[in-house]
Amino acid sequence: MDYNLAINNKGIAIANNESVSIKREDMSIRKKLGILTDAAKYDVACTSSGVERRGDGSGMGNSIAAGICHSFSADGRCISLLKILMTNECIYDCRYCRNRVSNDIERATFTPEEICTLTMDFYRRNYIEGLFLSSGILHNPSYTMERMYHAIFLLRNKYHFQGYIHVKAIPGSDAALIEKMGYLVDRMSVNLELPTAEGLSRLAPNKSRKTILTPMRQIQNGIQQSKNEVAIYKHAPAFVSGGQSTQMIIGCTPETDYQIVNVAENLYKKFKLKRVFYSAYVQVNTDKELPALPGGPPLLREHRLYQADFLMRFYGFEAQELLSEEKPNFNVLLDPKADWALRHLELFPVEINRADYSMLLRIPGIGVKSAQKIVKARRGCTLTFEHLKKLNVSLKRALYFITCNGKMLYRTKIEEDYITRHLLDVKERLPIDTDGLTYRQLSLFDTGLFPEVNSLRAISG
Amino acid sequence: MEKQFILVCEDSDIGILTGVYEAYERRLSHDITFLQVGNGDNLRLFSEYITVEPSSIKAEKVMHTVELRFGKETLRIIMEALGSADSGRADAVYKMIVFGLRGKYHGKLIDCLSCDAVVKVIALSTNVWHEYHHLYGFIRFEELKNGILYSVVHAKNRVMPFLGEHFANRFPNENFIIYDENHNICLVHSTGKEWFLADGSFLQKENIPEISDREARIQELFCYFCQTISIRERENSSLQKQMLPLRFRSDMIEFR
Repeated sequence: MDYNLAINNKGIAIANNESVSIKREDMSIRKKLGILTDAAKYDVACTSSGVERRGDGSGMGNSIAAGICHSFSADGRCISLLKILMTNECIYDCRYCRNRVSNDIERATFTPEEICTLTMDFYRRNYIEGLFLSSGILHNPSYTMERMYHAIFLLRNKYHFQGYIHVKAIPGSDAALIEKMGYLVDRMSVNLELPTAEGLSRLAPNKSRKTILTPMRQIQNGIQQSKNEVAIYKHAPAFVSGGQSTQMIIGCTPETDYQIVNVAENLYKKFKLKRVFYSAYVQVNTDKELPALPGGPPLLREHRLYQADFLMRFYGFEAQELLSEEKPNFNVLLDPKADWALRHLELFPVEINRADYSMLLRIPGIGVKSAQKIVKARRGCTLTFEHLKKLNVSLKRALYFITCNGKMLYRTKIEEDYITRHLLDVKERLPIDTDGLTYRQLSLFDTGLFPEVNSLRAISG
Repeated sequence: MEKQFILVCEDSDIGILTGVYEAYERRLSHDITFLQVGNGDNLRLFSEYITVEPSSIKAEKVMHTVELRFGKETLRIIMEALGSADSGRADAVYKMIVFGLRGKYHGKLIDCLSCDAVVKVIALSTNVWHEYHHLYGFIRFEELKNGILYSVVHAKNRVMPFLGEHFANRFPNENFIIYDENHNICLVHSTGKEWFLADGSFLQKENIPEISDREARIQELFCYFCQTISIRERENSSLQKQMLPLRFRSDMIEFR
């Protein structure tokens, strides 16, 4: 297909000037790409990991379990997949969403063929790792899902694309469509949108918790069933082999961090999700129900939630250990693990040569890689701080919590105030400081030091 | 001071592995024998320099022994480490093999992190892995007038063999060439055939045709996509630099 051709909204390519009569809402592919990328950019789940599949030589593409990032946009987020909406037309009126029906914005719809050629052209030049397809609701959920299925079916069977595909399941669409889609794609996700049902009913009146959780449960059961089948019949078709994920918007409704991590923990345990993504709310609409965010999106809060999320998935922490009813929000100054350690100083210092793996993981500054290296290295000899340095284990924060051979690195006190003071001196590497700007104009209303604190206040009123 | 022996190897996988073979063949004490790639900057006192002629038969014997004794994964890690640009790689690999063949350890050789040579080899291999894994994503192909996909990279380490395996599996039905300007090597793959490495002169750079007409339009579309996908409220160029170092950008069309 040639991109110079104008393409009409019903999907008919106009190859010559005779048929210009039906060219009512024509739009170039460039313009459509602009509108539908702009509409999709707030979706966060853009990973390409979790599936190892080698190409069979008949088509194009393969998939690497570690995932591959192909570029990074100006906001520092990874560009891995061609992240687009199929359409930004929508019959729903969710207050936080840019594509809500009551917004007067330019609308566009990709035809299945356009999605396929764009994906193939980008993939062939190694721009992308695959396709991420979401959509607004066109006419009704099942119609939308069917059109998406058509696009993915063409991509897999006509264009023989064997790369990564991530598709959003549309809540409320027919279960049979979701099942058919599941056999073609690598990952599926259903957006939870907001952490609690109350928030959802207030801001997204057309959506309900039930319609969101139904497809999520269906996909979970499908994955389990497919695993069982593959165990018996090696070549049975795989259903959503990269697992299921979801995302929720943070800072749009007044939930506490404690509520959010509990929701995430439940999703991991009860729905066997692979990932839960958090998306700091970006103010795209003005509405009386929405919070004003003078300090910009709550990025620090989002970062703390991701830290807690990793602690729950890889470090053996439970939501209850990190936060509680009495202390419902994360510390702005310290990461959740250091915060936990300071509240449990009775467990420290930990002897590096004897502590078990799960305890090593709980030491601030020691991650999964470092803990694994320590466990391997101490089989051969008794470890000293010199060894740890050679293994590239970061001691900046860990030194207050560990001993090697009964000795600490320096003379330090196991005292909450003392350690807190020193941990604050070690500058935490946050992914949110903009351009290394360390000074800021003083304002009458805030000290400028912790904009997130102010934005949290703004949310809770 | 005891006299030391320094085996000077050619700067290639075969050269270094031949050096390891020679170190055993000459029956020198491993404690006073060192391996070095090329002539190096400084000469050491009280040392005898022995130049090693590369031999693929000897190199293959070493690889065979490594695979037999320590397994495929260890061989992969050693081969990755040999691709590194670090000047100490030859000696680290040699010392690791010596430590392994002495056999005074339990479990897997690559888990013996109490041995400095093993730690060093793993660090080198990780470094090389990071670079070729970055390049898996950051390589940009351009379609030439004759339909061939062409890409230029500037790699620090010798990563071409790893790229060849990946891209040949990904694009089995394409004709493509990846040219590493730093090492003057090119990787060539044609439809349905095995890929191979060739010297840069194979390419005849002056004869490379221009990019196709369609190519320019698709490049423009992708640049537009990259601009649009960024969220203005979250812009953060230091995070972008951390994730995508500047040295890669000269070869990427969206940063031109």
